[in-house]
Amino acid sequence: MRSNRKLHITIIKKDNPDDLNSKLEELIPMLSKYNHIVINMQGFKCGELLETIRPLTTRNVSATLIVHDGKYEDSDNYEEKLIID
Amino acid sequence: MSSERFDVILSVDRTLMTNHHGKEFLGFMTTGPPIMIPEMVWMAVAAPKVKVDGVGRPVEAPYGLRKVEAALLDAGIKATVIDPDYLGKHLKNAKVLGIGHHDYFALGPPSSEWWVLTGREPVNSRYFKRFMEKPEIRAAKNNGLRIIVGGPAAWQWLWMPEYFEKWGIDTVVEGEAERVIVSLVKNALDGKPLPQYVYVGINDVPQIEEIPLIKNASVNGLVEIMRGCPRGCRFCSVTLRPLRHYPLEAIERELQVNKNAGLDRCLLHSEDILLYGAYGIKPRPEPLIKLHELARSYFKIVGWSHVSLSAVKYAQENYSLISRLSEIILRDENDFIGVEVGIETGSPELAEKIMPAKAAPYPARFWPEIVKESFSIMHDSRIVPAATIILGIPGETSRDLVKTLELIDELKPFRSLIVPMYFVPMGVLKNKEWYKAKPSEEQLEIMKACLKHDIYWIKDLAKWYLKDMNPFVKYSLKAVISLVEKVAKIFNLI
Repeated sequence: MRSNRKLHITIIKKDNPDDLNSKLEELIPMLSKYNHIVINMQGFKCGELLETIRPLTTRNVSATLIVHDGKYEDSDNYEEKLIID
Repeated sequence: MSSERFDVILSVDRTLMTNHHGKEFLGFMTTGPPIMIPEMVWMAVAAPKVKVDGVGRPVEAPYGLRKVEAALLDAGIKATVIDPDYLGKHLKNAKVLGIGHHDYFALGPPSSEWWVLTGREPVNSRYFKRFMEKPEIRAAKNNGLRIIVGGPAAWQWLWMPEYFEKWGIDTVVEGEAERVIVSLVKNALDGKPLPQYVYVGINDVPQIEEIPLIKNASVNGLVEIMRGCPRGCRFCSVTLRPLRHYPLEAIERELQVNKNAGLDRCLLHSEDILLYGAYGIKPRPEPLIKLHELARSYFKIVGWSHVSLSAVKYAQENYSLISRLSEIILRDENDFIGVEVGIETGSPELAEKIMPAKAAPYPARFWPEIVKESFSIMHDSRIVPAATIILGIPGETSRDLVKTLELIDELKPFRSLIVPMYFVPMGVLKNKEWYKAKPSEEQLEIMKACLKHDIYWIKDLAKWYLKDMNPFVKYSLKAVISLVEKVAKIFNLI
């Protein structure tokens, strides 16, 4: 039976992208606890959004990642919600 | 002419919407730039147009697009695959365009390697860019068309975000799409917001009964028999996904689809054909013989996509199974069978580091011996391996490269092709001029050794591979082979 643990992450764009990269790197080990991770990225252009998310996709994360831009709103229930800025 | 309307159009550029004249190995030509002949001739040889019906639906289409088409049709969505030359009238009515590709921007091997070596953009990337710039796609996008891209090369969009913006891509789907594509497309059709990116994690891959069976024919009768791989090599994403075997009944239904469409051949596809029905990594005769007899009952020509070299050795040593399978499938005019295999390295030390289970059930320290023995077995059974060597993998040393060079030399007696795969490190892709990165001297020596090996064997192989091809393709390929040989001699490469 598959579990359905869900995590919601809001990533807010800041001036220093290196700082954000290191925060995402720190996040990677905990992602395997979840099956679905919805990431809402605020303040990013489409292209920037893809570049920013890249570290999460090259590390064999076992969870399904669903990445939206900041316009997306949903009312799903999540086990945990994080904000990264 | 039918006036049927489709809500979802699936398509791709000509480098993939083709049957490569029934010779999938010619598809490798689409990973390089045209060499010594005009692009138009290069493409006519490598990727001819396919037969279509009255509204532009190809008789044969890439298997990945066929799987997505099947998933959407099963969900009651009006979807179809359309040839790239017939998109215009369909996109006027469609709401979604789905695209799948093996190498959108030529960033994967061997395309990246040819780009680095020649300094010229391969035709797969050129044709994909032209496809996306088609006026009919641009016009439809301006009218609200939503574009979803996926396939094995979906990761490349993360390295080419400027094109994501330029062409108005709505969603990139990375990974096995069957469990997510229907809800994504329904949201697109309903005008709901779409995520920019979906990565299907290993916990979310479809189980075998969730994978739909194709409804229309696939290129050269390709039929998937398994998904995933248990060997866990560090450079390969397929091994991250669980191993799943299709039951014979499901395989037979897909064989029937291709047979009913008029195809005269089938290509059994998995990461390792010999592991079909296996317990772990040890091939078993019964399921393999049943599978091959089934395929042979429908088609005279039965091909393999990939096998592992350790499975070749184990199957032959324990059951004489390679000889038995070749007796089943090599009949009539089908004198040889070609198959992709991975050597990757001639260094036992590097093999232990990057692919410790590739040699299993044998120890990785015997890897070069396993390669030689399995090449010898295949030579005797008229199976022609098209082998890859990986260059540029992290951790590779000069000593490893010397051992690889020695192994290539020892493989000379065996009928085969060896293709070096130069890996452009991910970090280098951040640089827009990544293709100016140059291989080391030792890596270049290995490339030369492969060229020498291939030129030694290619004329012999061409007699078999090209014997039933049309004269134009046969002449063009022979001319290219001859020119490559002459140039290689002039530059002292062989």
